[in-house]
Amino acid sequence: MISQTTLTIFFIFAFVWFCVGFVLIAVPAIREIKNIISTGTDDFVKAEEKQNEN
Amino acid sequence: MGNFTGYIILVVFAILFIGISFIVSKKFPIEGVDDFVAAGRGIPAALISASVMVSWVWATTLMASAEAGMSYGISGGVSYAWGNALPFFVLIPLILHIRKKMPKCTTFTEFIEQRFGSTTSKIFFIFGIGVTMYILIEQAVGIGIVFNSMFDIPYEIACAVPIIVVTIYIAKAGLRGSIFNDVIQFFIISIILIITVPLVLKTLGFDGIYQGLVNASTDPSNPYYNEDALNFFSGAGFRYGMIAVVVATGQVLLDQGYYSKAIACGNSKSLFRAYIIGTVFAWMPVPIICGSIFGGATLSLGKDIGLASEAAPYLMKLIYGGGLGAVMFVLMVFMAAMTTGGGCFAGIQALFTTDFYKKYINKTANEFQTINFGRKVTFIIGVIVIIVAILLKGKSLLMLDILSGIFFAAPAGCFVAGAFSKKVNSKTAIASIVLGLGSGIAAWQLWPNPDMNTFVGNMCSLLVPVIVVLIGSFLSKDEFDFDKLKDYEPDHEVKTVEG
Repeated sequence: MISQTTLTIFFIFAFVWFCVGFVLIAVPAIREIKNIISTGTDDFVKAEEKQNEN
Repeated sequence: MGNFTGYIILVVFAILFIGISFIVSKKFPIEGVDDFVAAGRGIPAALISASVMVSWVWATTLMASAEAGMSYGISGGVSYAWGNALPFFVLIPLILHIRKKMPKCTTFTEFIEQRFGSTTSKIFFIFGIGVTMYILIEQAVGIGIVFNSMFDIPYEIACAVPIIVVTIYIAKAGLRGSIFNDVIQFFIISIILIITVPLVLKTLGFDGIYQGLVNASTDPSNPYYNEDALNFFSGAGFRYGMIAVVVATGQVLLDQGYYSKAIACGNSKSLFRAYIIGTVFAWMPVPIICGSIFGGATLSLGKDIGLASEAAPYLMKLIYGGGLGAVMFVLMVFMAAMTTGGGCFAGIQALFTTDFYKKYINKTANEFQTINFGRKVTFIIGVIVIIVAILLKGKSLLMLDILSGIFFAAPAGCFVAGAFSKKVNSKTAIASIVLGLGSGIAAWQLWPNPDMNTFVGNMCSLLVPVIVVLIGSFLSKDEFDFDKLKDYEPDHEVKTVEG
């Protein structure tokens, strides 16, 4: 049987782990969506090709 | 008739997601089959990460992991997490390898056909459709249960409407529509979880949850008495995790949706990053939170809540109050079911569009005829899913998931071996699938211990094919030339991509 301290650390760790994952996706995703909204289709494709080359 | 709130949620999100698909298809007009099923192979890694993460967050992830937390204690959520994550560590190298060896591949069945021949490819096609249909049906059942239990909306309406919505937006905008909607759904699911977890812990308290779990593990009169409730390494939890590995292996390796998303990514480095962030960093903590925190917290209350699969909605109602709690929970499950459904429909659309129409129906079809066929199939599959989901009213999601492992894990061994080893031939591949499936079903039906029969059945379905492949490869004198895959040219135009 684990201790209350271990359970507490485990719960907090799981939550922080999720928040890190959320940030790792959310920040670049918002940036990409802003790109898409602000550029035209052709510009978007060209920007993507340039990113892929890099 | 049902609670008005539930109908509002259905209508608002139907308009939102269908609307987004119309906007996406206008901003990115579909130029051909590759654009339709592979989003032109230029989606940014961040959007793929979000899409992969939410595609693997099923209604089951939220509800069955909480059920596992009720059944197995804190090991339930952990076992769900590692059991369902492990197959991704097979899928990711597999996809990268296929992408390098066969750059113009779109579907996994195309690879199987070139590697093993058309008979094996047809078997994989059937399994691929089977897995996808099963996943879609399970999402429809899950969402039907949730809307019915929370808002009293008739189960039949609740499982039909989301499927209709997904069918429309996938048929309209293809894989790109699926991915863009996935990103919205990623934010909704994530924000609800980020708000809910601290609230659960604050409302019930770490001390309250711990003492409740101690009671569950020491008091035989507790309705959910389990002496391993506070044991990360419980035997039952471990067996559940191993079953999850088998179940997830078939679901992951045979779901064309994951290959389509991988192919949609601009390059292999981005793809690797997208899948690792999407699964390890963002997805894995979700079942731990739902299983160990939500399920564990509900278990700690010591109340008989009826079906263990009601754990997550019960807790949400307790934390938020009946109305808001119901809305929050339903939104999460609704989004999860839509994203998974979207990925499945996109995958099944790709299979029928690239691997079926020109081969068997219209050999001279142009790309737009092929795309239209893919759209029609999407609608037909949607209707079938709705009918079957309605017929499955009242069945346990957890048991459905466990049994799917027995049926769908069998092809995994020869698929992975065939991708990396030149010694596996088509006879070995087919024999491994037949023997794996046969031994899995036989073990499930004949094993004398009813607590172990599904576990043994799942293990046989996954491991017997591996043994057959090893023996077959040892005995075989065949050697497949992987270099010829580089020259593969599909029936439709594909942009040149790096490997």
